[in-house]
Amino acid sequence: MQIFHPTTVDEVIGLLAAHDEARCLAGGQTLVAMLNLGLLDPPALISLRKVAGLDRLIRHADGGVTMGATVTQAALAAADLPGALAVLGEAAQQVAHPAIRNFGTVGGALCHADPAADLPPAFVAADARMTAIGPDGERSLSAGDFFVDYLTTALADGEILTEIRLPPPPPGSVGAYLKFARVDGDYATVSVAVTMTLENGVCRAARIALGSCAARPLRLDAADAALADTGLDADSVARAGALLQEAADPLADMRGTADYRRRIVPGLVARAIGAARAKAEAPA
Amino acid sequence: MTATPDAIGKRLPRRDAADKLAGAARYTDDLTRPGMLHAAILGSPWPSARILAIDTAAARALPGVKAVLTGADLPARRWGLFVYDETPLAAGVVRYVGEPVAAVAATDLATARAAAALIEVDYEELAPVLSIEEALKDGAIPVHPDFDGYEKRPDLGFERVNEIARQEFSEGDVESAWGNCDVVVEGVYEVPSQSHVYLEPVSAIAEFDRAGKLTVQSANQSVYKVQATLSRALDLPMSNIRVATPAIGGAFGGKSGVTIQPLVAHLARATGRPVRLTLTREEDFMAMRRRHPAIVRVRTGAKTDGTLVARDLDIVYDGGAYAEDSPAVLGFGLLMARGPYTIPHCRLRGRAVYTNRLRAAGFRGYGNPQVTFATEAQIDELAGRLGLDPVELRLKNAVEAGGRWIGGQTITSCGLSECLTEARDASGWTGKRHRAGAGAGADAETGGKRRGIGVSAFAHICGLLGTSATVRLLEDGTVTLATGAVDLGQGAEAVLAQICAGALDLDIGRINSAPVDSDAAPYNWSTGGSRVTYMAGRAVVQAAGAVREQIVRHAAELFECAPADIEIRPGGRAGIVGVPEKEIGFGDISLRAHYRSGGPIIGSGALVYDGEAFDTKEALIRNYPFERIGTYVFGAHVVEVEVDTVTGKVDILRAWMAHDVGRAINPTEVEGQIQGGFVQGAGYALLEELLWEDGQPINPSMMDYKVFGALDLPLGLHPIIVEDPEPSGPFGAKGIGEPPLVGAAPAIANAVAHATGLRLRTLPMTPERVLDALDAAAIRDPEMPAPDRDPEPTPGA
Repeated sequence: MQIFHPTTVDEVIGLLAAHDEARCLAGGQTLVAMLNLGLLDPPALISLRKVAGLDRLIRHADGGVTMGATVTQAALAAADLPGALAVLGEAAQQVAHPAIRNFGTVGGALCHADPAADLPPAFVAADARMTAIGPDGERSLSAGDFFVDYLTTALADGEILTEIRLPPPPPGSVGAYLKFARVDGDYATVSVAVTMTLENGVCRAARIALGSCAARPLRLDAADAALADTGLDADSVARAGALLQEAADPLADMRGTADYRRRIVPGLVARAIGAARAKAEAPA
Repeated sequence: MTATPDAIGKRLPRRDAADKLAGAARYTDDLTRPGMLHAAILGSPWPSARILAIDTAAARALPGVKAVLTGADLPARRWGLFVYDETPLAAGVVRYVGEPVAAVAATDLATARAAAALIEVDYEELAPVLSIEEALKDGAIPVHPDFDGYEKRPDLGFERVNEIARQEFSEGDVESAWGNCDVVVEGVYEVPSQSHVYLEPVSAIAEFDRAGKLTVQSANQSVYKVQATLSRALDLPMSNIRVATPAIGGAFGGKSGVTIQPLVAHLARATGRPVRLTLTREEDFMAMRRRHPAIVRVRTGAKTDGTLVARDLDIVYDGGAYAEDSPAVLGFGLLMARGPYTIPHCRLRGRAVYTNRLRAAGFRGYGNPQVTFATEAQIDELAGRLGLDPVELRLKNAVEAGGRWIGGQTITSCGLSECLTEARDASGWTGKRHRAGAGAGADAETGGKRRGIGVSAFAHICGLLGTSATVRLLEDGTVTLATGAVDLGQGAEAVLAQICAGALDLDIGRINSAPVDSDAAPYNWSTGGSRVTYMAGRAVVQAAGAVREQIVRHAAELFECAPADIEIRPGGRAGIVGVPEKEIGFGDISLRAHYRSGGPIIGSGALVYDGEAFDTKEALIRNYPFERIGTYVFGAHVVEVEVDTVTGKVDILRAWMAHDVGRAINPTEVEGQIQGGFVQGAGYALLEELLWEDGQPINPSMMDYKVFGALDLPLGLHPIIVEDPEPSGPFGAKGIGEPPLVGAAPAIANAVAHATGLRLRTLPMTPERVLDALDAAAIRDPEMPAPDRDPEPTPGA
């Protein structure tokens, strides 16, 4: 197995083109485990560690954020992003354990596209834009379009995720990430990422994305719409939860049966909404 | 001996702690030998199959491969604990998925593993036996068709196909006793297969010297059990086998017999080189050991005033593919099945059966967690029916010192009632038990969380089998202590050193503990059965006593007085009673002994458990594997839980764990055992279960099989040490290794019942199981009543 240490994105793209089945190595927290288990045997690894600028988290004056793909999960967990973007930090804080977060990268977790992982639903709820660069140049996708299927993204062969852009959080926006798992550090049995914009107690807009409930983060226009322009009364919250429950198509695994996961969706959605709302109500 | 030697009861730090914290402790897999080969195994893909042919040609052809062994290459010498049914590699038939079928030794690990993958095995699949029901049904397929022909020691009475053992332990007349009961509760309880999940997977290094002596270094709980089994498996005299013990990363019973040592020794013999094998975590999960799952049918009856009258218990343990400890696990479970109560009429029966799943074996609790989960649930169910406080009901029936255990033994010390009252009072039991909790109607205010508090009372033993120790006085008056008690990480070495220091009234810094190596260490049956402090500790006191006698004799000669006039003074001095200035240090005495008179001072102690035997006139005891085990230990747990009605998850909020340890030699070590045992028991209660589908393990990894970590349980796990000195114990001490696990699940289940009004009879109480029960109850009764609260206490009552 060859290992390369490119210093620019162009070099990475060139190496990917030159080596079929090569893999990019960022934090290695999933990739190296898979290598150790013999699940993967790529001919080449392309380390992203020396690629300039990929590990920068930039806070823009308007409140928006741009983060490079190799920003660590620990860095995101500590970033204390404002408003709706708090959903990202809360999700990052709940990824596995500190040692894993210190190495694991945001881009790596997103590109792995495990629907049970914490970051994908959070980035969907935050309405992130993903920047991909490949042989044909640069393009931008929504997080919703980025996740395609189990362990599958919209990245084409030879393309890499370089950065994620988060829009400025609107005034009055809040975010929360609620994870339900068997034990601390486990993958989610079900997780709920929510962002909302509240105005005098009225929800003007909401985005809810569920983890571990489908082949990709589960978001429904109808569920978000059920909350829009409501006071987040119990009926509206229950309606959103019921819609998501109906749309959920989870796998059964050691963390729970598909039926169990569906059953707990409405209650967890209500709790996540409650947690986000409490932030709006908390004195600044 | 002064009344309270300085070393006894002290929170002294452990000698191994610094190395372990620094990562400097050396475990078996850290060790290498010159020319050492690396081994890998190939496991069975089927729960039951006949091996038709094994083609090892491709594996042998791989450069670097030095040996490939299959069952056909090994002598047909079966071993076991009671039933001699095991071989190092499957012999013609595989009986569980993961059973080692072939093994490779090669110059490096990657080559060994690659070669193992190249071995081709032709199997004829057979219909497997995958559950207790399948094992015992009429016309069941025998897991061991040759069972009748196996050597057995002793033969423990099976009646049906797949029965490993069938035993009974009964007193009184249970059938006619039901008529005297005002209330009878009855239930079937199911408990799962728990994995030991020691942090260090099983590992061994074996090598032969040119004179033919075998040395094995391995993770083990008894160098002598390993030595004895190697002797049988390799047809070598024990004098040609040395078993040594590097640092051990936990065992919990899973390393109590042999593991892979015979296989690694065969590879060393075949290659003439040292060989190391360390199982991967997945292999360890699949091919080592587990706790016996069991089905427990119990009926318990009481009078209106709470007096317990009768119990009928029938338990079946799933022993898996090989018998190993099963007959003893069954026997010990039955001994615990009356519980720590006086119940005059008991019929306690059980069986252990073969299935085509991983062998079950000893595991912290040894058959006791299974029965105690069921029986302690029944005590609470009776309390509910009788309208009595669960703690009061237990206190009313609790055994006491001087009373009798089932089977007739006298209970020599007993702090059970004190454990119950201390845990009750520390927990604020009375207020929490009567507080109107969050019934269904209150979910809105509590965010869907319901709190409850529950109790359990339980017993165990700490006395069994043989052990020994030597104490040597070195030239400078310091001491080397040797025992055969392997330290598994629980602190045995520290506690035995403290006992030695106490018995000689020396500072702990003057006690050196010898490594446990069968070439030099005195015999100890095993580090297991919660017995090291009590049994090995007694041997240490004996050995130290023999040294004291010699010291006294030397001092008497020097001072020209009678030995009776000599006293041992703290700090390593002997002097004339009443004459403070007349004294001599142990160093001067030892120099005298070494160079002038009497020879070096060595003391030894040895005993085999000497408590009362079971009284076969009092009790009907059939096919019982022990003549005498005992010295009973007691505990009581109170646990407060919160049940999430949205997810079904049970969170432990706080626990108070009171344990009568006779005397805490090192309270910090005792507390560590209490907390660690409780956490492992909480995993048994709420989380852990090895699962199979069609005989295939489906969660043999730490990604899928979870154990509780530091963040999953509260800081408020409060150990409470109760000390009712045991007359026969070293400084009054008894054991503590297993009981904290035993009491966890029943107290948690009783707390869940208090919180929800629901009695869960199946472990683990996973979120899904709890939610199923909550949902079923809501369907049965949409206006579900508040949980079964105890009646409000009558003022002044």
